[in-house]
Amino acid sequence: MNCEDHISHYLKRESIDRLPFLVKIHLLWCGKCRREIPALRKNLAAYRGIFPYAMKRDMSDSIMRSVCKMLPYKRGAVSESKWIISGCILLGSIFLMPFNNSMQWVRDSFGEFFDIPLTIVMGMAISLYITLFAASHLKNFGLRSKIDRILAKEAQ
Amino acid sequence: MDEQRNDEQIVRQILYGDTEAFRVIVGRYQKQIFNMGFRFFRNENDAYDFVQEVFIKAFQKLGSFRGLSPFRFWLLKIAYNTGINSVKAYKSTSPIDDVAIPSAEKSPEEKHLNEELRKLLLDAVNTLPERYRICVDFYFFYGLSYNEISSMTGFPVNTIKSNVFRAKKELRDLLSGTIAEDYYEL
Ligand SMILES: [Zn+2]
Ligand SMILES: [Zn+2]
Repeated sequence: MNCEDHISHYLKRESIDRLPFLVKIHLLWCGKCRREIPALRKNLAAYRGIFPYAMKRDMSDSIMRSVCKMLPYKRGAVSESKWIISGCILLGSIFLMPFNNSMQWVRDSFGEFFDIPLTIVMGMAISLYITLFAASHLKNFGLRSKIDRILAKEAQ
Repeated sequence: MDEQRNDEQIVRQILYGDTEAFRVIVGRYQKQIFNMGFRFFRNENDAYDFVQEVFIKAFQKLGSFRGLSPFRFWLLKIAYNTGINSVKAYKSTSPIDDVAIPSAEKSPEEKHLNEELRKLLLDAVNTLPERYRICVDFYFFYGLSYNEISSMTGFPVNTIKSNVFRAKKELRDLLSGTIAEDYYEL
């Protein structure tokens, strides 16, 4: 491998900082590359974090003016209306259950003993709903900020 | 105090309703977004409009930030997609007006040196096909890895690799050609 090969070998690598082993060996006895490669490396590394076009205007105020016109975010990924709708569906399905014949169909097919597991499933669905609701509305219960404070202390 | 919080903490603050915290995010990244805008539109005014558009879009989408990748990467990706789409829409035919504007944060001696280096890299990058130039920006200035650039732009890693290599080689020629001896002392 001649000098050009070594330089190509180095430039092909993703890392600018690390010289490939064979290149390091080559540097031991090649004065020409010893002058060139470290200088090249220094120059390539100098670009990191530099942005070639300088910004003369600060855009913060103009952006914040637009952003402040929008609704601020509220804690929780699920909107209030989604909570209310899913709650109504859950409750509705429970109240409607005795009045339609799907229950009767279940009884006919599987016998009376199926009532109890079904009740347990329904109970679990309600508990799950309430748990999720409470977890996502902790701020309203005054717990969220307490938890945040504890977490923040832990992080320090 | 805000300056010490990391991006993800600030995003959480905004999602709790503290819209004003978004100012910190803008302060941190406007320069990077502006530079991307300049790469896409090649003129200052469009680059400023781009900054405005990207940050507003980012604010609107903030609720969908899941923290799967660093916030900075998420933001750059929004910016990249915005740039690609508007360039497609308006097919800029304006000639390259490469105004290399000095940035004002280094000492005068350093600034002079960086300015020269910067001009050389821009020249080197300009020898590449237009759509790959931004990959080289991402590599040198933004410090992104080949994999990150690939997932951002959709170009295969090998394409990015060979374009970065070409830019480095070109840059090496420019460095040793234009300021010959001087360059070893840089
Ligand atoms: Zn050599
Ligand atoms: Zn000089």
